[in-house]
Amino acid sequence: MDHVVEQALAILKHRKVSALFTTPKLLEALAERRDLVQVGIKGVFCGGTTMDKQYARFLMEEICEGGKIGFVPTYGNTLMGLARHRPFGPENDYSITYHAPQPRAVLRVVDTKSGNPVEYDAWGRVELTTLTKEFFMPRFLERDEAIRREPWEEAPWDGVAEIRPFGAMEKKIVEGVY
Amino acid sequence: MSESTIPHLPCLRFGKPYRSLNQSEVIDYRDGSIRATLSQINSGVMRRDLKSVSIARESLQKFSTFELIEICQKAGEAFLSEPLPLGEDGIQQSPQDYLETLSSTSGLPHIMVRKNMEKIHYALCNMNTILNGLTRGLDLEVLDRGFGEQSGSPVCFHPTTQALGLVMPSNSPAVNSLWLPAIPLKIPVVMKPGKDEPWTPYRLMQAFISAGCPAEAFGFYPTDYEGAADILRLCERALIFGDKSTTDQYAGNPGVQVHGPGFSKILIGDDEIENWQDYLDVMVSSISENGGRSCINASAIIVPKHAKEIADALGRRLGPVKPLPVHDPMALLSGFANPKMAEWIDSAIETDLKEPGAMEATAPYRDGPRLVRAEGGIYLRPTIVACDSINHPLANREFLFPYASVVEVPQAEMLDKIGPTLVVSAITKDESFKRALLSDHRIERLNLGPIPTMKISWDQPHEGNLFEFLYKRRSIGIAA
Repeated sequence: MDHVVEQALAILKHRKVSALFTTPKLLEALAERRDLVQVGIKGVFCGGTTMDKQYARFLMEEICEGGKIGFVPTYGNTLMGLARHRPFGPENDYSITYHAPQPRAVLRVVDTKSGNPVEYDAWGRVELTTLTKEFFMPRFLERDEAIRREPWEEAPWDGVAEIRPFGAMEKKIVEGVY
Repeated sequence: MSESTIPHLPCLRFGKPYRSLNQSEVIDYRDGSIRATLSQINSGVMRRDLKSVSIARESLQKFSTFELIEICQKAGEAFLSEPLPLGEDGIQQSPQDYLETLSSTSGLPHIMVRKNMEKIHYALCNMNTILNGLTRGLDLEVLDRGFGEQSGSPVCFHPTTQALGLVMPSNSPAVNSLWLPAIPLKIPVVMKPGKDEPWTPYRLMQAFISAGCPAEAFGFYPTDYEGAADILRLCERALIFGDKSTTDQYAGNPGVQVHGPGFSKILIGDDEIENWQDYLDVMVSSISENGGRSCINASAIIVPKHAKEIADALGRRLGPVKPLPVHDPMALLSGFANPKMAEWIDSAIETDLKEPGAMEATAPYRDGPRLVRAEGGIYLRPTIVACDSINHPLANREFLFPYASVVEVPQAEMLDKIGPTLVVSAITKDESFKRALLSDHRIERLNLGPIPTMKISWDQPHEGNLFEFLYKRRSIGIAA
């Protein structure tokens, strides 16, 4: 990770950068080396690996200094595009819920045995369906698990929350981004 | 206990309580009921706090060493006798609450918790004596001024770190007495408490704060392995407690003082072996006190002859010992907070007993198996094994219950064969054997004569000198 941080720090030193796209761990590592507010960062798009509630709180309250830097969690991939996150904070214990960019992509949280959606606020495996002119891919099981959340007025379809690697509670999983 | 009355122990970020959204449960070892929840922080929280560790150190530097010793004394009284805050919700923990709760999550009977409380109380109330031992009689005002004189020579000491890192175990509360001198030595602590034993360090920190010590001096960070590794990496001086596989990772690291298994032993010389029966009480207490959980419990009796008779006599004394209710003042055994650990120990001993050259001496006197479910928990009953050779897999082992091997080794070969040993109690009057023992660098604490291995001196560190770890002497010159 150090070489990535070094490269990022070199860019931050020599260029005017106001937005970062990065993973949670890299964001934390960068903040340990530079004061990101002083460097001029205004917003961070952060995703790619797990952010549990405590970690999201830590990044928002301490790394992004409680709003001095806008903190935008992201979830997505090249098939789906980026899912939009719902407002989160102390009022919901920093639980991050994402809503897929329907209708081009649909996310469901399903029971792995039955393939049916789990109840709201229950854990299940994330299932992605894409429906675009270029590519139709029905019911692809992602390598993630999440909590199913109720629709939101700005995205009136199911959300997926507190995403983590599938089976993370049973075994240690090494996460990476590619 | 209803959910609303279950106490929550927050993280202490240099004194400031912080309730994490990730929490673990501290469980009653008997019925699995939740006795407390514990904030679990991501290691980034602690790394961030360590950037401002100088504030914690400055908070202690405002006091003289003498004032901090007085605070220790008050903290000792508060720890032993007064109600102290437990968490943020206004809950007060009485000494009896502490005793019962700690017993219920650690498996230690009340009588042992009480003894551990008294040890900690003694350490806090006799901090002057302890510091005198650690500093070899240094005028403690030298620490306030930074320089001074000792035995007619100028001395100057500087701290080696801004904070003492601590990765604590869960096995025995009195182990906390090891870090207590850091506070009068003006070094804040950054601690990951043991998973099953947050009670003692939290109560100690509250006792210090109630006695007038600045809260900023205390970092209490229940965290994961990454957090523990960061404590050891980022605090320039740290203590770690753990099994051999854990402590081996840090062996040779001058910034980490390793407290692993003790492999403590009793050695009987040729001159005293015919009197072995006179020393049975010393052997029994060395093996079984504190539930056999300490690194200073004897785990081997090394003798030039009569191994089988000694093992049999120990088996006769310890074999019948069985679990008693936790409040029974005669209770000698501790339950296992982690039943899998007890199962692993039992199966490891059974497997190694199949190797030729070992015979269990307790089995004939024990009515049933070693691993028992009793008093609502899992216990291991005492086990003595006679081994033909020091090379037998059971000859030099340490387990978390009253366990010892009895092994025959010629006196002339004993010191070369016992390996690194935390405490040796050598029962001999042979002057040449005593000289050999005194010269041996592998023994951390040496008792000459029939002294139980469990008996330690507070004015002599038995495992590392905290003052020498936290301070370094330098040469100094001052213009007249």
